[in-house]
Amino acid sequence: MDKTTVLLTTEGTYPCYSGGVSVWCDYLVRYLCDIEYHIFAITHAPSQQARFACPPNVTSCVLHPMWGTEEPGAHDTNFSEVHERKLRTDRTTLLRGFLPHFKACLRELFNSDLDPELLAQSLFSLHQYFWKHDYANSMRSRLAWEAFLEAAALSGWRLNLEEATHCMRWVQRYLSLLAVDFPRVDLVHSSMAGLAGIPGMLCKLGQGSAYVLTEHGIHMRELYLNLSRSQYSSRCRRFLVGFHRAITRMNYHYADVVTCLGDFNRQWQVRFGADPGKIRVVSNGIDPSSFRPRPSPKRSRPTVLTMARIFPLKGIDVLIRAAAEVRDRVPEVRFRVLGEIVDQAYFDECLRLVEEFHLGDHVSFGVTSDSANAYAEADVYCLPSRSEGLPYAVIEAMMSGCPVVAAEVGNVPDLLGGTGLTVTPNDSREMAAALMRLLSGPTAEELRRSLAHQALERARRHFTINQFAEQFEGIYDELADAPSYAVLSRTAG
Amino acid sequence: MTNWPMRPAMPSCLEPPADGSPWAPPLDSCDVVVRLETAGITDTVARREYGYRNAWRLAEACFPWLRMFPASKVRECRQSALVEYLKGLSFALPLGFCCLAMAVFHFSLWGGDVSPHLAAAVGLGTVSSFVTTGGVVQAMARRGLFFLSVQDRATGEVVCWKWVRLGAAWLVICGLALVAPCRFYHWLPAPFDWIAFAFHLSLGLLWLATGILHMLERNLWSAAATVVGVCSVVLLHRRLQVPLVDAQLTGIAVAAVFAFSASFVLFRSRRCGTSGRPRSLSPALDLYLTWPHFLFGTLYFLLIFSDRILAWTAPDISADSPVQFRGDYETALDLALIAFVLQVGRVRASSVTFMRKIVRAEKQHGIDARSKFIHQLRQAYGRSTAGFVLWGAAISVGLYLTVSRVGAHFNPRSDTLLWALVGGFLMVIGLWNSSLLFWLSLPVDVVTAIAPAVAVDLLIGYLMSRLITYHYAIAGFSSGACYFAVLTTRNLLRRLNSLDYYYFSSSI
Repeated sequence: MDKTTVLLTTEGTYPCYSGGVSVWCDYLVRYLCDIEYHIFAITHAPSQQARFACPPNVTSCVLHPMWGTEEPGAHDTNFSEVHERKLRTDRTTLLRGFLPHFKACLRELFNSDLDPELLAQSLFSLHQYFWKHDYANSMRSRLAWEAFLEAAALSGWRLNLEEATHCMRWVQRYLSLLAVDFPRVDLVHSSMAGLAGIPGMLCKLGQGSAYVLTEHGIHMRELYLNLSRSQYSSRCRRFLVGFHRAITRMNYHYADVVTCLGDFNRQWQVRFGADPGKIRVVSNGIDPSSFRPRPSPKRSRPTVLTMARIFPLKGIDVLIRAAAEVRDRVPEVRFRVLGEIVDQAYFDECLRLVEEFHLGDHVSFGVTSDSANAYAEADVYCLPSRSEGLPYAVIEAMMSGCPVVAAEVGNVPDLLGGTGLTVTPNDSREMAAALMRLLSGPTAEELRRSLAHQALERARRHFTINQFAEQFEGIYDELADAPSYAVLSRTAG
Repeated sequence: MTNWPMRPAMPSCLEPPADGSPWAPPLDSCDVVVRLETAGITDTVARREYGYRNAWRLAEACFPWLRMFPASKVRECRQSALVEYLKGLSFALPLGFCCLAMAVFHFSLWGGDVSPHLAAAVGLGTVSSFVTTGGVVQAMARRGLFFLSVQDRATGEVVCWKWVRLGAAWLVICGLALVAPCRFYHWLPAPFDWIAFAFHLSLGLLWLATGILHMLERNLWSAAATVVGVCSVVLLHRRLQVPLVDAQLTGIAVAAVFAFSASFVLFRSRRCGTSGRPRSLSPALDLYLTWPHFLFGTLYFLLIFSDRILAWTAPDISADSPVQFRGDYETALDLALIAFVLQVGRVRASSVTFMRKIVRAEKQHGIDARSKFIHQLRQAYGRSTAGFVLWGAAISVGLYLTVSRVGAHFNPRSDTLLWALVGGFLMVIGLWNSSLLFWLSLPVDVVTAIAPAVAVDLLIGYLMSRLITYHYAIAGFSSGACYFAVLTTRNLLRRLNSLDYYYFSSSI
């Protein structure tokens, strides 16, 4: 029997970046070893290299840089092919083969009452056009620019020219996925509802592949988060939100199954147009043999561990403020923050706080290659985040028998299920109080032992890698048996 | 009468920060919920502290109020026109130090009181080094600047060194191509052909190194390399009694090593803290992306220097070799060069200002007011060009009058100087247009202007130098520069008619 082939699509995560989604992808391809995977990863820049070594069942890995290339669109192909495509892209082909579909696509992108099928049809037609014609020459043509301005004007968008330039530049970069030749697969599994989902729709319409969409954080929620800190004008931000909302709705519409990590995320998905009947909760899972309770080494100082990449949403500043209060009651306490620095300015701010509170002997930063040992050495695991999906670090701590204090964000309360202490996010006092309950006082040790035991039981029951792998295997099998979507053959196109 | 809703008890985290840090009004209530969440306001907190059922309800209540706050102003970072002008002039610093050395020591990295054969050899080597490396430096800068602009420093560095290696190989090939006819046609007696080759090679390497420093916007390091080179020549020639030519070749080599080392150190310092390995690039793609820049760099120096070659090779019965260095011709051109450098300094400043004007005008005009936008920018272009004309005329006339009155001991040919000043002035107009065309990613428009200009230069320079005297070879340069200015103006004006489109398509 032939192996099931799956195209796993990612954006800004596996295999080039660290973080929870990348770990999830790594587990998926490793533990579903009977599946033949192709990876298609959208990266930020062409200099990005894979950080994760792909297992043998990954037969191809294509990195698609969204920015930083000389021209948007496919670029790693043979130059003579690119040149031939450029020569074929003349005014006549632009007028006949490109413009009608591009206009249809823009109409839907500017339309607040979007029809996902019309958008998908226009994108698929453009995809077919780009099999033979040059992406950059088409998207940078004057006809494309005029079409964009016309569509914006007709839809009542009162953009100024600078905003129009920004928005059209985004469009030409984002839609560069349409110029990619995707492999023939049985199923596309997208790890995000945004751009990474477009191949799912294209393969479904073109090859009849099934389409699974998994969201960890919610794409639209993360977009809002990023835009709230941006300097773009309101109209540019509105355009970006509208563009991604349209793509997200289209992905929800075409996905056969949408999975999420918990009810918190499910609510957001429904709000952005996902059919509740398609949504399934599939929790993250880890390997219990890698993370298990170990005899704790003799420690002279009580230790609080935080495993997190360092950027504002992880709330390390909240942890430091809490540390200052804990130190006053438990003078020998030690806080270890282990994780990669993602935002240097924020890290500098954290160091400044450490200095301000005279916590130099109490707070340390670093990285580790042996996280299992780090959990064993800790008395308490603390998650001070301001936003989370279903953090692996908490599952690892639970599985390692380390009691957890966590901010009540995302799906964390569901994950802990009462086996850890939850606190109001951003509230360092409440966090300090919770930590002190576990670190000082006559009942602290007993409470730690009891929470650790309950958390371990819960993690072994609900969050193992086998359960995770079985659930996705079941979804793949179920879709493989289902009748496929109407196939449009490439030659017919 | 409108009944405004009561302002809700709004979490302070939603309001614009008092310290003026970036803030934008929310787009909708989803946007507000996300902001609440990152501030730690969950459903529980919204219920407990603000009396709403959940964070969504709180967001819906706050949104109408929040949208009324204006977004924080984006501070524009800009430098004064004088700083931009000085930056534009800084490329000429090495030349300035060479002139200073000539005045103090009567020699520099090249030149000095040497025999006619040696002067011709050095002159030929110098001109060929510029023409050979001009294209390589342009192509290197085009690729290097691209990678630096997209923060891909590792690839930028690799690309630069690759072009340096290509440039060095190209220098050797072109140098041998220079020596062969010199020897075959006896243009220069031996060993002067090899001296020409040595200057061609060593100066070429120095231009490649300073090309990297110019790309990295470190022209002061180029000036420092020149100073180090000149000091080496002085030490070797004055103190150690080394023959001048040998000392100069050593000095140029020292300056080149210094400049390459500085480039290496600067690349290394920029590499710190950045991730990513260099990309592998297809040579065919490199060639496709850089051919107009390579051609422009080569043709530019041909346009600048071909009149000299025509003047040096004009038939002269009294000369004992076919290539004859012309001191009076050179003096006139060197004086005109001062005016040219002072005018060229404006190109960078004016280009930066013009691009800012485009951005500002784009913000002012809606997509339905494109004709007004184009009209405004065409006027701005006209005003800037008029500024070049006035500035160029003032400098040229001032220099001509100064030389006429107090520069008698230089003994320049006044008609040669006049032609050179006019040519330099027109060349600057052409470069100003070219700079804007490059900004708009239209290098082919520049090449299609400069290629016929070089042909005009060669044709008219040849005819004038052969039919009248070698002094009139400069008429070729002036005619070529005029053609270059006219064609680039025409090309640019055509593009300005659709400026909104070309500005969009120039993006990377």
